[in-house]
Amino acid sequence: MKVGKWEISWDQVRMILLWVALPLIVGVLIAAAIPRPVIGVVYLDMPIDTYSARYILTQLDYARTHASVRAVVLTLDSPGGTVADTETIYQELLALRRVKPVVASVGSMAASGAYYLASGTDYIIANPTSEVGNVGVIGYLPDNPAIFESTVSTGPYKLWGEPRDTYLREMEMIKQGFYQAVKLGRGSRLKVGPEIILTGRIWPGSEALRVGLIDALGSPTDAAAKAAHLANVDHYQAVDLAVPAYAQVLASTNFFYQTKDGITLSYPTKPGLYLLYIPPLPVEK
Amino acid sequence: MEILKRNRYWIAMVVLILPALLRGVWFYHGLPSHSKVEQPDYAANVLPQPPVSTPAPENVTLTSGKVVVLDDNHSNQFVPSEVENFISELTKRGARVEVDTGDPSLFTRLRYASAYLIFSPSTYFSAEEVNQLKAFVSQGGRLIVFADPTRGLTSIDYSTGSTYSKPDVDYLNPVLAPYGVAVNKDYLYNLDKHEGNFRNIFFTQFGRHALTDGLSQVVFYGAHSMQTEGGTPLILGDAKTLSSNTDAGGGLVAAALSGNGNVLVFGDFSFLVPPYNTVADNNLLIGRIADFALSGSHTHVIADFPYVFDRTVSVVPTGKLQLGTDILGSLASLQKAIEETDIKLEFNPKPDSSTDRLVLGIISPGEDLAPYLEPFDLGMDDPQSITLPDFGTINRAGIGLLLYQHTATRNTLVLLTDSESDLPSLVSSLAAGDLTSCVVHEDVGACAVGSGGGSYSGSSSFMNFPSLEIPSYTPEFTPSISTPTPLP
Repeated sequence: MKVGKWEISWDQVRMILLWVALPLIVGVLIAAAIPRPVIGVVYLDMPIDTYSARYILTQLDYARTHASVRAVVLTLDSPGGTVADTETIYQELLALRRVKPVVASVGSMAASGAYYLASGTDYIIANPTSEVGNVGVIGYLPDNPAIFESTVSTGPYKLWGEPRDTYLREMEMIKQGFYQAVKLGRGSRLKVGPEIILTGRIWPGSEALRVGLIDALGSPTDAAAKAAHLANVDHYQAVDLAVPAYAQVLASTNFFYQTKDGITLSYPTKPGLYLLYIPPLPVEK
Repeated sequence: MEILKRNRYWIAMVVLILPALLRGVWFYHGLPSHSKVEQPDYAANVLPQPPVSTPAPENVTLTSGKVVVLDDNHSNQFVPSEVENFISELTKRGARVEVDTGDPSLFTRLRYASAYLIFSPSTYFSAEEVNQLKAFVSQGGRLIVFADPTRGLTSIDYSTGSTYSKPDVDYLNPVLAPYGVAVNKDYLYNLDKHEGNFRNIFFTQFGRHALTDGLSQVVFYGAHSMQTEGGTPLILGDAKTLSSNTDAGGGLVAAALSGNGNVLVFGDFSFLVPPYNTVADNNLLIGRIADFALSGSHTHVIADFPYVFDRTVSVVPTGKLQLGTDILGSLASLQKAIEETDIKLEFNPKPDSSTDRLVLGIISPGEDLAPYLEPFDLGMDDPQSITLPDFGTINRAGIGLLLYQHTATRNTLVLLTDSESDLPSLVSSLAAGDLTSCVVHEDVGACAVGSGGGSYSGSSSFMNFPSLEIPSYTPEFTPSISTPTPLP
């Protein structure tokens, strides 16, 4: 057999096919089995409560248990929410971070509990005007214990949970945990002390960068690139993990207070303690 | 081809691995970086506890006849039960506490009160009330004012989300302006060291005064700062206690005493309310405030009648005065008027030293009358006229004199007329509170009571009747605002 000016015998063709082409095909097939790295994207664009926490936790669990997910971008656009749910997500984030890098990307807001989560990531990127911070706790105190004739209980705090004063002190304790999380998460990158952080201020992204609450200004794409960099991967694909993890949001319709007219206000329905940012209300003199 | 033949295994292996290697290198540049992950030690965080209470001393100084009036006529943002502990400290010291709901008037209450307490009002005091309080304070009455940022009445309309704010400071500062004290529309906070919450402030710096003597630490649970001009800052924050207005601090004042020493202002009253009254030296401070309220020397003037006595009053007839039916009838009215102030009136020509005196007599230089007239420097040498300091010379005919003397141990009111027949008329007028025919100047009054038609020919520079002087209200103190220190 003549190929161009080369005279190739069938034996030689057979040898090339057997020792070059076939291994190459097999090699390509094997190479194809090497997955394209995935940067998992987890969106938290709602207040943190039991339902949204479950939605996030499903995705974090997926990211931790699937090797193709090399890093995670936590995209935050949330005012925070309940204390326990925030702490649950935070701890799962830390568990994930022990095996994979996690980068936070702040959309319009990562306030209070949402910033708590951000502080648990390796790197925080925000827009110049993202609202960031609001480190602290708010709460609605229960009433003073009283006796109701029609609602009986076996102890003075069975109905009220705890004394009003204790509620206040518990709030302080939660704040300490929050600040520790920020301090541990940000480390030496935090450029101001507790006297500034614990004022509860909310900073625009550019100011948050100055005080060390975030690491850089940028877009979600930049966040994905940073996550890829931390994971030492390239040519990745960003995947919304809600899809492969089959995570579904069970609508939490009653987190914020709704008036009889159907107007949703910016404070929660239930009394209790929250890691939540409530925007200032209009004041009427 | 020979090369291929000889190295076919190696070549096969290379072409087998190469795609995977290239793809791997294309995607993966190494192992992911792992940062050190630390978790907060949640278990180490405990509920902050308040400092142990310092018990208040058991022994207190007892007083008698002291009345403390609690303002509840300006939509005050408190309920008396909240300050029950403080009220108890007052009553423990022998005081009577009244709640002023507007009837009788503030003017009437202040005539007999020793101290007037104001808690977080949310309506304005009228200019007249401000001036009545000013006169009260100028006579030695004690004015104790409690503002509180937690009572600023910021309420939320849950249907609209709107908030309504009525800071008590707006309503208090016009009252406090005459005394050089202005409460700031802020709250104090300390993020460094606090009692369970950033707005609960430890105070360990005190101005020197009996009110703060021996205090080592008090805790206010939400307090305004204030400014004083010529007064004494009593309770001051440390360098890290900041004002919400400026986020700056250092020596901010949370309680102050006015320059005249009679107006005490606190930026908080939560420290009076259980359970906060039992924290640190708060209880001790509450006792001190009660002492302060009752230690004033509210001097009365004749215009304050019947609130010119502090203890049982003995009626002392002098000279040859006979207590006939006319005078007894008028004295009965007088007794009723005095006893409405919870003071007993008794007839006792030789009273003991523990009683106040109501002295009745005829204008004459008699021996038994002389001790009572001595402080007033009356000129009675002329049988037709009498000379009164600040009044000049007055014709005796038809004249009635009211002479009042207040000392720490006794109040004495002397009623004199030119004739015995005129005395019932003077007593009746006094009993009825009708002094419209009298010229009164502080502790001396001259009344036209008889048919003689006494004439007045004096050249007194000042006469004032029937009520106290009510000067026009003009704020004397404008608070300055400190320049905020910007945060880094």
